[in-house]
Amino acid sequence: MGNYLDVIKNLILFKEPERKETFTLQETSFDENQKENEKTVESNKRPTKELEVQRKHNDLKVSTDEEKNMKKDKLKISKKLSENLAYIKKIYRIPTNADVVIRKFKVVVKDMSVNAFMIFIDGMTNTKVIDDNILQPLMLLSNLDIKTDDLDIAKYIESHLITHNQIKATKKFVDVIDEVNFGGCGVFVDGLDVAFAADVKGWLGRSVGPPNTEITIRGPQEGFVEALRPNTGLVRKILKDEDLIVESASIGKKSKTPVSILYIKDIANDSLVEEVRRRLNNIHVDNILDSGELEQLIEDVTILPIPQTIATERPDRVASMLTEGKVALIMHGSPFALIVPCTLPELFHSPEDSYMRFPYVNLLRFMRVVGMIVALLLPGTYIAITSYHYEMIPTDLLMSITATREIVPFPAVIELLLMEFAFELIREAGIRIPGPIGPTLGIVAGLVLGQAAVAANIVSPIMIIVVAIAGVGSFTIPNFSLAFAFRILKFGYILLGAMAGFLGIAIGLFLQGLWFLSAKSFGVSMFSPIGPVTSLAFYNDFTRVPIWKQEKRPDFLNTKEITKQPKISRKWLNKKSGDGDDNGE
Amino acid sequence: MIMESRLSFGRWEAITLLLNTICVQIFIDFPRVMAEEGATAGWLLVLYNSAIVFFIFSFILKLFLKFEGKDLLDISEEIGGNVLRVIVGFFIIIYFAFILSMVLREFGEGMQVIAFPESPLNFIIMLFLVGIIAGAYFGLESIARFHVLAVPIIIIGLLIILLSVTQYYNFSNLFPVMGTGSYNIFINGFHRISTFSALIILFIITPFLKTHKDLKAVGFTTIGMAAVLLTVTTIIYLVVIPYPVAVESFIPIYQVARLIDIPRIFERIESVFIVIWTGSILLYLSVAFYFLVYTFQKTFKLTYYRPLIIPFAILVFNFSLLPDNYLSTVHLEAKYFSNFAWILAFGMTIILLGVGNIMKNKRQKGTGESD
Amino acid sequence: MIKRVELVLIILILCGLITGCYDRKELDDMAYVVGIGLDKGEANFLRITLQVAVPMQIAEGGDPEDTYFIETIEAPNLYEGLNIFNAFLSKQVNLSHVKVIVFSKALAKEGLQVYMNEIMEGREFRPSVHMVVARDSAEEYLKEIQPMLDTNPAKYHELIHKSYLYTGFSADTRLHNFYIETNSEYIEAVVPLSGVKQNNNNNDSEEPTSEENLEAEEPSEEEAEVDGELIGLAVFKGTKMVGELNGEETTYHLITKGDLGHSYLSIPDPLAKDKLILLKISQDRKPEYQLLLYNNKPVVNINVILEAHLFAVESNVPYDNIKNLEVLEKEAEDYVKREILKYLHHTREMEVDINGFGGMLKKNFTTWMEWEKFNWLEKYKESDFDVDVTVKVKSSGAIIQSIPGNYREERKEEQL
Repeated sequence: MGNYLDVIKNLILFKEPERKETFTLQETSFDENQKENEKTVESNKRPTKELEVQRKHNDLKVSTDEEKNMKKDKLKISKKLSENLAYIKKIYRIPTNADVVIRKFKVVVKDMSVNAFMIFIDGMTNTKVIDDNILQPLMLLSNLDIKTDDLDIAKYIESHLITHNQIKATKKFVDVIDEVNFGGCGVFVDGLDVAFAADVKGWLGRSVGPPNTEITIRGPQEGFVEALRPNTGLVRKILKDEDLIVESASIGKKSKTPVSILYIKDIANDSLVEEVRRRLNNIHVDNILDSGELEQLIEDVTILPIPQTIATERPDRVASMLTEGKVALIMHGSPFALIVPCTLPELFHSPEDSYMRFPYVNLLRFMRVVGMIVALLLPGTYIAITSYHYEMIPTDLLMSITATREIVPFPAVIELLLMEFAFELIREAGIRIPGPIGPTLGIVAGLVLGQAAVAANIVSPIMIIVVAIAGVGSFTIPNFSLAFAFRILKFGYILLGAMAGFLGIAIGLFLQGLWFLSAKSFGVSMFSPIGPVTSLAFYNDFTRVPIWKQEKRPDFLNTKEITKQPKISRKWLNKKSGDGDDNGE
Repeated sequence: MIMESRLSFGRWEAITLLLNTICVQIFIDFPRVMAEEGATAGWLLVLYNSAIVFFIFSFILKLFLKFEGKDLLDISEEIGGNVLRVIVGFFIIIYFAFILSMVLREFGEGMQVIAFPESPLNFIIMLFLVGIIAGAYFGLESIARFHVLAVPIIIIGLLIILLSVTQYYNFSNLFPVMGTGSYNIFINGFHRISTFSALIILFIITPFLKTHKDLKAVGFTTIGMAAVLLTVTTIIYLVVIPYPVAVESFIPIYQVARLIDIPRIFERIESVFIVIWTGSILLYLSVAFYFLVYTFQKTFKLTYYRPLIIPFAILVFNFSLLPDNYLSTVHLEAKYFSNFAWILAFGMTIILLGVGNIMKNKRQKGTGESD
Repeated sequence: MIKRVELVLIILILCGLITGCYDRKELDDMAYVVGIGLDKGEANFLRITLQVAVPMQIAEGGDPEDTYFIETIEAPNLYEGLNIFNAFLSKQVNLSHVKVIVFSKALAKEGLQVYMNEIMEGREFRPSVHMVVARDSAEEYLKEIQPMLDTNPAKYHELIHKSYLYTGFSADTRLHNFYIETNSEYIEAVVPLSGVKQNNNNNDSEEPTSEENLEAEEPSEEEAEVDGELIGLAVFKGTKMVGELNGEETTYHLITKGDLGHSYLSIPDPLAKDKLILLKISQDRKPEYQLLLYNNKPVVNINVILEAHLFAVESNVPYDNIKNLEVLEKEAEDYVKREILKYLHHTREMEVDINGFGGMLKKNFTTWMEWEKFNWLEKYKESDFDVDVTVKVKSSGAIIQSIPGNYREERKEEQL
């Protein structure tokens, strides 16, 4: 009871609002220094324990923060092999843990033969590489007389002996352990306080195939897989740009999932990248398994129905958005990449839109908008008309509706809600039905049940049509999460329509509009470029202009470089400049 | 949160905001009032008013040159300190509170007659209040952005209504040309510039419009577009429903929408337009309410405006239920309020700015600075 | 984010709002009235007849007669009568789909002011409801309509009121137009009249001998079959009925106003005595008017342009050469001019301007008060008319040249 009193007090009395810091996208100046006023971070929703950011060789350095004192992490490798071996066996619980392999061998260096052992996890490594490139040189080829001046054995081994392309020498256990956990192998040599960690990943996973969810007719048919490096490789394959930066971060105390931040350095806004980095580094969870969870952890408003990041399975889409100045997040273990910031018109773009010709695209976009409106408003409008505004219906239609409604025992609202629930049940069940029965059951459920319900006079046929069209309409929305959003909001409109007819629907639209318009996704208002009208308002929001007209990048992203292509990108139109090698500019 | 420092307006937002606040009257009783004042020359009255407002506005603009980036309350503070600011703020608050309650009541009654004969008035007004409170909570930025989206749709809907009744056009309804006579139109009709009294909002959002050029562009564009819309609506209304009958219509646009009859396609679709009308009214009410609360906050230099929302909502609700019936509301608005609104919006502004300019000149001369 | 407790409170508040569905009506809780008839009852009461549609029969395509039923009661005025209906009908009477309102002639002669106010005040009536004045009684009109071709009485009403476009025998007066015209200062209203008697004091071209005729184009001399046909117009001065126009006069009324779709006309053959020619006339351009004030008396100049198709020639005169056509045209023009003048004089007798000539005069005045003082409606009876008719006879459809009727006889003679 005290709870209720508190709540009422909270609702009625006024509380000083907490100083919540909101992020807005800075205007860029052309030098690298940015203004600092958005940086005052105060209390944050997520706890502020920060984790170390790992580095990889071929990525740029990012600012790291010092880790908290954890003894395990600071433990240094000792010079004695037996100590290292004992520690490793303890950490990995070797006899119990059956797939961790320890291979002891001897290294002949100069004239000495030293003990060494290697540790790797079977099933995650490419054993051929281990054999050929690590074991073989260390065991056999170290006999060769390699001309060098190096006296330091560690350096000697690293620079001359191990013929592997990714190796690092480290003094801390934690580096080796992390590397081994992720498909690497660790080499410990007696007498060295340095261990070598090599990346020999070779697990089996899904190979690159067509994307499962975003199916297109034109356009590349490659989709992301579950491993991080192949995914970033797919993106790099398309954008062969040295300015494409692939930063890395690691999330999850236990799962230590690597996440890559992709952006193009001389296009993307620095404050945006900084914000993404900041949010990623300030997530404190145990495990993170999919980019869906990541999305929920970094988005601005949890309760908003529309998604604030775009999740896509296609590398070409990621690439095109990167060139507009957005930032992509690819997570290990998930074939869905997240792209921020996201605006509502872009949620309506299908991946195919850029590849199709100009007339078709606009027609299709128009159909999608119509589909969205229908999915959202049709049931509510139907209820409003048949409950309050029946004078709108043409008399003939009214007679047939009345006749069919005569026999049905429920009021219109209940009937509609029944049918909607049934439809959602069918949808949900359809996802889980195995293989060949799937489509058949869909037809059975839809047609037969519907017909039977009508024949049994439980619902009227018009209701079935309304529900079916609304359902079909929601399938035209290309973005999966957005379709969900409208499915939920549809129920709200049904209630509003039943309560106050068109007045209720208008109020619902008003409230929903306000809500969506005040939402921001990473500092960019969700309705740009229509919301705050920016100067390049209508180049690619709901209608698309021909590709040779898309000269500038979206203004709301405040990119560093705003011109994408010159005013005349089809130089071949001008006959005089046709000879020879005038390819664009 | 202190939103003002973050708010900034684009031009389109300001234009559509003001356009909606001026043109919402079309959906209440503007054409009928014009027909009553000017008989068949009602549209002439509108044009005349627009021209006058145009000149007044250019005059005010010139006076604003010295006060770039300040709104009425800042200026009155400069002139007369806290006292004057409170007085001016008080008048503005009264203006908004009054117009808000009146419009709420009129439209509630309108809805009752059109679509909800049996619902009590409280229910309808409360529904509107929900929308208004939500609007005030979300802040002016969201409202302004919504205007940019919604106002073109509203205008298109209005044009559809007006252009679907071409079979009823009868241009001889516009004759005799001078209607009730020049005296009635030009002298008695002068106070009808209260139609444009919503421009006072423009003078309150000057801090958000970054430059004086913006102010100029926004103001002139708004006046121009509003004039066109109002005139076209009045003309078409008179052409469809001739003069003596035109004075009797309850909500003129509704009567015109009722006539739409393209057989088998659009037979009685005036209910669809309820969505548009409600949208326009809701936008207008949110804006007026927001400025009510905002002006109150600024006048009394409070830090937060959020806690004011619910008490003011209750106040407005009560005010709107005060008049006994629709007729007395219309009486209040058309006969009394419109006589004074223009004095408030334009007269007070001119006086304040004039005095401010004089004082600034004196100060500059007094300290020996040159311009 | 939202704790359970808050959620519960929100839901409670929402429930309170949902109870406010005061106006929600289920579609099948209402009885849809399609036609209303008003008669004079006994002792100053109104006799109200309602034609109510039966949705089940309409939807299932039942017998046309079963798709509606008719009830009559007496009450002091319209809305109280509807209350009484509600008392014995199980469903609530709903007027938003009324298609026609029928007044009886007696009621119309008394004046419809009171009823118009009642009707326009109610928001449920569409402004596009058709109006009919019934010669005898509205109740009989509604009862005798037999929509043989329609499954839906509403559709019957809609379609028959469009029939004037191809018959030329009535007009289409809606509630909105009627209201405006009765309150207007330059035009008076007309309403279609149902079940009209033959008006036989016109000239000789009424014999129903021509081949192509619509049903009941020429009502016979007896009392017309009470089939609910719409022929003729009731003429109103203000809200009181003061006279009638018969079928042909209605056609000329439509011609003068410019609303004629097409109609059939039989004129006497100029080149053969006692024979008729059937023309189908249509009006593509509206007539041109000119109004002058001569000695403060209005003079109305009307220029009517008609198109005619030659449909049937009774005699053997070949009308397919140009000279004969010109003669025909001239005869047609004279004929139509005579008839129009007759019609206009009739309106002048009744002192009503149903064509709205006053609208042309408005331009000459500057202010409304002057126009009101001029009082056109009273001045109408002093006006003079000058009518010019142009008839263009176009080709007669599928037959360009007709074989002269005596071809067979000629050939026979040749053979003999």
